[in-house]
Amino acid sequence: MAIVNSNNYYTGVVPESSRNTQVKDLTTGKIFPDVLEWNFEPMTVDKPQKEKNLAESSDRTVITANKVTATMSGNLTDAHEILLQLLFDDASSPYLFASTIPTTKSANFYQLFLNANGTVASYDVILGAVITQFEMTGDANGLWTYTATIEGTSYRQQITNTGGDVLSNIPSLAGTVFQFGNTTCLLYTSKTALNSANITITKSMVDDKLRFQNSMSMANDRYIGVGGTISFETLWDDSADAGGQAKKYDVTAKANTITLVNASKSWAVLTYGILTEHSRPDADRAEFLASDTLKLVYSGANNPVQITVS
Amino acid sequence: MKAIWKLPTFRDGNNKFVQGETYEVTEKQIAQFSGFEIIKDKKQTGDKDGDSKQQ
Repeated sequence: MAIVNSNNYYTGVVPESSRNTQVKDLTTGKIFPDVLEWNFEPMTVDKPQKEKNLAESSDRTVITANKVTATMSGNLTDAHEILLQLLFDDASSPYLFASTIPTTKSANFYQLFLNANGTVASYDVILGAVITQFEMTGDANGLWTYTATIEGTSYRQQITNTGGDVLSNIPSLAGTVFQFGNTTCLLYTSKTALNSANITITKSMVDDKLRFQNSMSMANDRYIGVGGTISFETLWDDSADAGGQAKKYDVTAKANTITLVNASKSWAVLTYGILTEHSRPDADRAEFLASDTLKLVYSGANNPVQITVS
Repeated sequence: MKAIWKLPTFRDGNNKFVQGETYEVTEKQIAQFSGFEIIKDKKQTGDKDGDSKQQ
């Protein structure tokens, strides 16, 4: 037995070639100093049995299906492009959702526990995992951060990195952070400056009944809808923001581009959305701020969200 | 035959057509997606003209 320091792990993402199969060669993966929190969340049923006792018996509740949920979060870097590939089920930039159901990409998410030398001593792994939501957040004087919501099919826990379970070709840490201060933007109000922004991209998976069918584990990761929101806060402008209230739900998709930039890469996030909120809360320091929220939609010609990496 | 995708980048299932890029496509795809502009032999004719001028 040994105490485990929660600082001593890295998170690894490796695309699967065959669903719900462990990939022990991490060549095609990426390693991040990011947080991975996961839980085995089985579905259960209470048997309608006679207990012959006032208390519930230990075998009353049984597991009927296996499911793993997880979140991965940290500072967003250019190496996190691997998460965009999983989110959009797309192989290369520009990343965008398909109009008809594509093959859902799945991955292994590793929690790699390191020993004093920084090598992997043991690991947890989530298998057959898909990303169902991806959120990017940036704030003035800060770094862009992200949170990915993950649903997995199965898991292996505290596996010693030896023998048949040894991992090979573990890459070193990758990626350079995106500074919010290097962000550029062109908003629907023609503004090119912003104080903070949040982009949330979601996939709605099919109902659990369809996902599991006659199986104890998820066999189907198809989704029935994609969407999300973009919200941002800017300085209120008495002309650019004047017509804001009238633009709410005006059935015209508005383009907003926010480009994340570091020294080597840029991620141009082009979104089209319907304005659902445009507010001017009273400000603390005597300057009005405009707070916009748009629901991402397909405008008939333009994708709700398209991320071009260059 | 070869065709250029003219409309904004579009994905249908695992197919992806990036605006301005050239694809080898089938007649069925052309019928299915209206964003393709077929590359005519115009370009080849142009090349031949260029060659003759050099000679």
